[in-house]
Amino acid sequence: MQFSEYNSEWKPVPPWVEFLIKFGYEWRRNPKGARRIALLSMPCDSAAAGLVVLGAMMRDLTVPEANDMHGHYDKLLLYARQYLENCRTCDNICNPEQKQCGYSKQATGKLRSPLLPRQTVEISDQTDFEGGQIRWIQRDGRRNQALVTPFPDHAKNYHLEDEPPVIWNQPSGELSPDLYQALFGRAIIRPENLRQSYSGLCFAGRATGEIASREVCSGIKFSNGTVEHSLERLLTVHGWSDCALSRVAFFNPRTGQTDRNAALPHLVIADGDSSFLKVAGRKEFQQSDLVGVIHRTTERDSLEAVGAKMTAWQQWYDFDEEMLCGLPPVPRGISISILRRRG
Amino acid sequence: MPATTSQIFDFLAGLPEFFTERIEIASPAFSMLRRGLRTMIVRLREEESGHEANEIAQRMRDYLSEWLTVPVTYDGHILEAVKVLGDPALVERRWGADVRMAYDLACRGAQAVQLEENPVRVELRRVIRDLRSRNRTFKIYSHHRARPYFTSLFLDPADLPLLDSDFLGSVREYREAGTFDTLVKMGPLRAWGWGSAPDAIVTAPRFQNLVQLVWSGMADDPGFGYDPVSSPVEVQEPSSNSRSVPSGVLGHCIARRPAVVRRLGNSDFDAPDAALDEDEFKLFQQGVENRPGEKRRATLAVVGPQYGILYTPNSQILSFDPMAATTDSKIQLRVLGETLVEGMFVVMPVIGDVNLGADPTNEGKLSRIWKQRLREELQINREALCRILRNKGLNLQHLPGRVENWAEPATTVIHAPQQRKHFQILIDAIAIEAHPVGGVDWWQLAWNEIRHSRGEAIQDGMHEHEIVEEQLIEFLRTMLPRINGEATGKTSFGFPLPTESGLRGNVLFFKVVSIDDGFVVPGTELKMIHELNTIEQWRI
Repeated sequence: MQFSEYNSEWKPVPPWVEFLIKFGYEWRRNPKGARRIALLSMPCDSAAAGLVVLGAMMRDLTVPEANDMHGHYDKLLLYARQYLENCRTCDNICNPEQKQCGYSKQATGKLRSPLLPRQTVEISDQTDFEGGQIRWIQRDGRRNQALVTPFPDHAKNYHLEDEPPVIWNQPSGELSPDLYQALFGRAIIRPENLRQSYSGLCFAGRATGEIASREVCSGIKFSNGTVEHSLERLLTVHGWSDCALSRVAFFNPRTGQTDRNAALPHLVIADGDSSFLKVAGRKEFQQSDLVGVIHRTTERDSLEAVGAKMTAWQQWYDFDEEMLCGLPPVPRGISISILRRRG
Repeated sequence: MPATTSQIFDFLAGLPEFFTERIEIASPAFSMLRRGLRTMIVRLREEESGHEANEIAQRMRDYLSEWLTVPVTYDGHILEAVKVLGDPALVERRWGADVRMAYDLACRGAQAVQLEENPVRVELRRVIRDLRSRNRTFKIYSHHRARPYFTSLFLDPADLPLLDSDFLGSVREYREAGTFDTLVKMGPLRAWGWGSAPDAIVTAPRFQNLVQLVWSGMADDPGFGYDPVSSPVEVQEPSSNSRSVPSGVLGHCIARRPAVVRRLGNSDFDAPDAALDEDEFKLFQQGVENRPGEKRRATLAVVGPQYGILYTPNSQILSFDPMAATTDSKIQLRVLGETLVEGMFVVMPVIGDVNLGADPTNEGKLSRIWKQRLREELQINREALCRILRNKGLNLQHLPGRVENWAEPATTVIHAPQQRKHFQILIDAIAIEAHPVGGVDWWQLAWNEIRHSRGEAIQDGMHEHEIVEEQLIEFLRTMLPRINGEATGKTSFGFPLPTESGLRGNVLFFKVVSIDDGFVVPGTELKMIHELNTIEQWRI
C-alpha cells in the first residue's frame, strides 16, 4: 500500500498513519463497555481525525449489525410523524434550535429510492401511526400517482431526501473492498456491508466548517498500485464523493447540523479542539464514545479549555489503562489519554 | 511552505531529545536599574499610593518588561523613561524616602548602562553569526514590535541583514513553519505576556536546539509546554521540563535535554549580591492575581502604527478579506489569528445613536472645534501649553509629541487623549468657551464623540450589536464594490450606513497589520481602539 500527502511522492504508509488507522480500528474491540472518551494530541495540524475515522469505519465494515437496515421502518415512521405533526405546519423553517422543537433537522416529507430515480415520493397524511403503517404518495412525473402502503422489507429501498440510501441494490456502485482490505489486511470485511449505509459512526469536522474538513482529507491519498483514492473519498461522507452509500455521518460544528436524521452514533470522532468541545456539549452525543483529535500548535487558551474539560470528566471517569496498554506502539509526537466511565 | 505531517513525524523520529542552550547574562549596571525599578514598582502600585502612583508603576513595569525581553539599545531613552518622575526631592516628599532611594538607584543604573552596549545584543550578534558561519538554519522567536531591535543588530554592511523570514512571531507562524536547526529566543519561556511563546516550542519542536538568552534571575514559566492530554502536569524543576505524566496517559515522548547554562557578563555570579536579581515577571504576576476587578485574556490586532484593538481569544470578529474569491467569503465572521490574519480588515459597526456627520472619515462635529483651537494654541506657544497641561496633571511621557498628534485631523478615529480626565484637562487648558447642551458639559459631549469613534458604542449596545450583525453582513455584501474600492491602498476607512440598510450609524474598516497575544484586559476595554502605548499596560 502506498501513501501520498499533498501530492508528495508515493511511499509506504508511514507509521503515524498506520497507528491512527489502527487506533480507530481497535476502538470497538469491546463494544458493550462503559462510555469512553479519548484525546489524541498531535504535534501539528493534520488529517489525523479523518484517519481515525477511516480505521473505525473499517472496523464497522466487519461488524454484521453495522448498517442502517435495522429499525429503518421505525425511522421512516418517526420521520413521517415529525413531518406531519410538526414541520409541515411550522412557521419557523428551519431553525430547530430556536424553536426548541426537539428535532435536529427539518423533515421535508420527501423520500427517494435508487430503484426509482425519477419518481418523487411524499409522506401521506393517511399514515396510520397507531397501526404502525406508513403510507406515501408516489408520483412518476407524468401526473400518475399512487398511494402506497409499503411492507417493511420494501421500505428499505426508500430513504430520506438528501440522505444516502440505506441499501444499494444496483449492479455497480457498491463500495470497493480492495483499498480497505489492503489498508488493514486483518479486517474480515462483510460483503453485505459494502452495499449498506451506516450512521453509527460520526465524524465531527473542523470548527471552520465542512469545506475545511474536506480539504484536509483530500490531501491524503492511498494507492494499492492499481487504484488510488483520497481519504476524502474513502470516508464515504455523504456528498464528498460520487459514492451513493455513506458509512460515516458528518456533524458540522459550525452549523451544529448532522447530515442525516439518524439514531445516536456509537462513536463520534472530533477534529480539533473547538469541535471536540462542541461535541462534548451536545445533548445528542452524551451517550456516544468520543475521540477528540487536537494539535498542540495552537493557543494556550484553546489547549487549556480542552485540558479543563478532560480534568472535569475525571470526576466520573477513570483512566482506561487497559485500552492504552493494548495500543500498538505510539509514534513519538502523539500523546493519548483515554477515560472510561466508572461502573 | 509548511512541512507535511510526515515530514514532521520523520523529524521527531530522528530527534530523541532537543537541546537547550541557556545563556544567562548579568550586568551590574542593569542589575542596579532593575533593583531600583523593582522597588519603585512594588511600592507605587500599592492601592493606597493613589491612582497616579499606580499609573506610574504600570508604566515602569512596561518599560522593565520590555528591557527584559527585547534586545533594546542602551541610549538616552532609558534614562528619559526612568526620570519621568522628575525632581528626586519632590519624589521623596510625595512617596517617601524608600521610593526616593530606589529612584536614585534606578537613575544611576540607567546612566551606567549607557556606558557599554547592551550585552544581550552583543551575545545575540555572536550567536547568529556563529549559526550563519556553520550554515545552520535558524529562526528568531520575537513579537512583531520587537523585530526592529533584532534587525538593528546587523546594520554593518559586512553582515547579512535579518529578513522577515528569519522571524516567527505568533503560534500561527510557528505552525506554518517548516523544520529548521535552531530557534533563538530572548527571555524566559512564558505562555503569556511579555516575551511569551507558544507551548509548542517544547511540546512540538520544529528544531533541534534552542538558544535562549535570559537576564540573570529570570526563570521559565513552570507550566510552559502544556499538553492537555497530560494535564495536570507536575513540574519537578522549572527549567528542565522534566515532569511526571499521570498513569493512564501516553506522553508524546518528546524530551528536552536539561539546559546547558552559560553565564556571561561582567558580574560575579557567585558573589553574595548576585542573588539580588529577582524574577520580575513572577513578582509582577503576583500583583496581577491579587488585583481586584474582572479581566479577560485578549489578543491584539494592531491596526496601524499607533493603534490596536483587543479581542477575547476565539471571539468571532466581523471582517473583510480583500483577497477572498467569493462574495460570501469576503465579509465573514472570523477568529483572530486563525482565520482572520494580517492583511484583512476588521469591521467595526458603530450602530445606534451615533452621528459623526456625513462622512466619518472627516472630523466629527465637535472635534473640529477643539482641534482647531488646539492647533492655534500650539502655534502660539507649544512649550507653554505643555507646561500648563503638566501642571494640571496631564503628565504623560513625550507630551509635546502626543499633543501634536491630538491636533492632527481625524482619520477613521479621532486622535485624542486616551483617558477621560486627560481630555477634560486638555479642553480646560485650551479654554474653549462653550455652554452646556441639555445640561451636559461641552467637553463631555466632545468626549462622547471620541468614544464613539473608538467603537465604544459597540460596548454600550452589545446586545443590539449581536442582533443586527446578521443584517449588517448581508448589507455589507451588497456594498462590496464600494468596499473593495475603498480598501485599495488604504489602511482604514469608513462610511455611514445608508438608510436602505435598515441600520443607523457608521461602519469602520481597519487593516490588520499584525497580531499579538498575551494580554489581560478589563472587559470594558475590549473591542475598542486604543493607542498601542496604552495597550502595553495590559500585557502580562
